[in-house]
Amino acid sequence: MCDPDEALVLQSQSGDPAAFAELIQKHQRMIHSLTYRMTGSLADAEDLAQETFINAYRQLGSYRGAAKFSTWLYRIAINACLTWRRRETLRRQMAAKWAETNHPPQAAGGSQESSHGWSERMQEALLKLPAKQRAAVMLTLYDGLNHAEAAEVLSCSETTISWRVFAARRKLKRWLTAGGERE
Amino acid sequence: MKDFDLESKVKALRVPEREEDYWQTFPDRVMKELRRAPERPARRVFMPGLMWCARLALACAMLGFCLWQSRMPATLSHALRKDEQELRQSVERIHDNLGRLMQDEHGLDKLVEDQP
Repeated sequence: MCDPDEALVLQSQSGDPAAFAELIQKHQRMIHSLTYRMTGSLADAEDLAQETFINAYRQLGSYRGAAKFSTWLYRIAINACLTWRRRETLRRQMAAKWAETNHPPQAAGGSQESSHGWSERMQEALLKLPAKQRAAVMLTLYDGLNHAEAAEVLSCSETTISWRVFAARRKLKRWLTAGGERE
Repeated sequence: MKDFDLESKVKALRVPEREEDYWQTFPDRVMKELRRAPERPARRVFMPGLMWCARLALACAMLGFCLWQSRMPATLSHALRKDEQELRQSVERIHDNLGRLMQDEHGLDKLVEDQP
């Protein structure tokens, strides 16, 4: 396999910071897109992209070129996003519990649902998906990875990827259709 | 909704654009962060030889434990057999003494005499 990043990776591994900065320059947009689609927030996406490159630099010694550098980077980014997701879920649960205890819910004063366009609805629906299903959708639909490549990034089998994409599609269709009927 | 419609909608979802300046400075920000908490790229500190030694030591320890466990019942049964033998001998001695007691008209004296 010919990896276009091979030379820069070797230079970075031998301690050349300029080479690593070049790698960041090359892959930053791809990683930002992935982290934004996984979080739905520009600020969190930036933090996670930064975390991804810092982790990549620290783990560079263990990279042996078995997969393409971009695939390896994807894997680090996805793991960072999944960890963020777990932390975020926990934080939200705790906040909800605290709010419930300290400020009991009042009668709903009108629906929060505004006249969202399909783009917002789609973003909301994507964020509602379980993190692993969302990751499978991001990698296969947005980034155009085939199921084998996505399986490599997510460290699972191709069948699992197919199943996650199938389940995600089914849910998205259901939510978007139901949302469309409501409006 | 068809798969194709869904896919085109998903793909049409755009990531908000950032200023060009952001992309220019992002690598520097990461490098600055790395310099602040310096940790060199992990050199290959991982030693497969050490891992194999650890695995071998663990296997030996497990084998030793298994052997010790398998010897335990043998030791126990040996002790039990010894106890059983002693018990049998005691019963036999009682039986002999009882026989003598029944034959001896001064059996009780005899029995008392037989006491060590």
